[in-house]
Amino acid sequence: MDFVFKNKRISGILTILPRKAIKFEDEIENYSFSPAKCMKLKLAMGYKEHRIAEPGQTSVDFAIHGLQYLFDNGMLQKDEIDAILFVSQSPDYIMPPSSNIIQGHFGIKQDCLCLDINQGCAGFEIGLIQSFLLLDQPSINKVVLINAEVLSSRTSKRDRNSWPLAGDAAAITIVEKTNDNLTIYANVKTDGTNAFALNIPAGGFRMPSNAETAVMEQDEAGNWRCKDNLVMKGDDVFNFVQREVPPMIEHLYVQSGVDRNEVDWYMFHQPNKFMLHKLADKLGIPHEKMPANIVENFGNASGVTVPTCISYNLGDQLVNGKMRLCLAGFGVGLTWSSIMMEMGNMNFNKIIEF
Amino acid sequence: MDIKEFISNFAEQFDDLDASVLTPETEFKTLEDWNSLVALSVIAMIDEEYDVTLKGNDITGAKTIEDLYNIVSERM
Repeated sequence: MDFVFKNKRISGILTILPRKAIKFEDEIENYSFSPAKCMKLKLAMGYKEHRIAEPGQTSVDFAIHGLQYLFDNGMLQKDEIDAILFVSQSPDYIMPPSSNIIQGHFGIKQDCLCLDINQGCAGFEIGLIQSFLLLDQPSINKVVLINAEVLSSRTSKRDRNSWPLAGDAAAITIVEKTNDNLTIYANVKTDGTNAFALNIPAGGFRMPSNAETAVMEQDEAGNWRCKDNLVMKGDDVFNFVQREVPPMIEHLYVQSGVDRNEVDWYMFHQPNKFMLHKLADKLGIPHEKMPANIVENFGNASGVTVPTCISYNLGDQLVNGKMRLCLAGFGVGLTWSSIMMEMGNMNFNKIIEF
Repeated sequence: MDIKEFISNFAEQFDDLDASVLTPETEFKTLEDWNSLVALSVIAMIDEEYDVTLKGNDITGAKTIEDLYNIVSERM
């Protein structure tokens, strides 16, 4: 599904990372693989550290901390917020929506539209597309897009497939109307036939959590997890990314009329360095234009990796200058989405810790 | 598709492996440097070079390099 938008911009990105950083080496004993094999994995994937929320820190806590920072520093005015989008797979409650909780916490106006969106790896792109759609409305001028995840607590520490790259984080992106007359191109695709390639089996209404779903079991590869934990079919996801992401980007080039070499930065979802290098090769773009340094330093916080990637790698460059970015998210759903847009002259593009 | 060329492409997915030590009968999963990442690299290589999609199950079910070669040939 293709989208075209005009006169919308991202005016600020604030990424909020957990203070706690855990080194890959310090966790090797948890896995049922030899230390030698683990170190090999570390070399190949580039794992160093990942950021994990403290017990009791929720996705809403991160969002509130970030918004408070923005209000305290005059970077955002409460009464200008027309919509709050909360994109997460780890909300505080099944009921009420987390976006409502946030609106209530700050006493934001009742006319503020609050929406919780259940999306993962493509969550930043989906959130942006929803923001742009809302901004087409006359009465909506400023959208606060929040991407937040604390999935580490649903990831088994003994799952070498998933734990090393688990990351918690949040990002607040301010999206608003502008007069630049520039066009933003976006697309989204869905494949629900492979919906269970990335899954947390228990905890919803299909299979409620109970004593049985907490029982740890070993899989064929030697990883231990229970039904309350995230399970990823690694090779299916890898195949999916290799097969679907390049054509999506090729389509975006045609849709937008932008040549691959005219893009300054490819800010893609960060599953791991290995996959990103393979993608860059397939697209025929230099590795330097597609940063792959988020998982190794912070972990993979699903929909938050793209704003983290933008804040971490570009920072003030997007405050003082303007660039052409290609964003892409792919994974949970399976959903894949990409956006071609110019970004720059931002009010802020930074990282804080919580 | 030539099996020699296939073996050469296969060997390239390892960090430090000479294609000359591999034969069609080599039970690749017993190779010292074989791991899940090499498996992914092989899957990626087969997609790139031969335009064939290999799944994790295909690798699990195959014993020798020739087994893999046959699966790829069938799907080409």
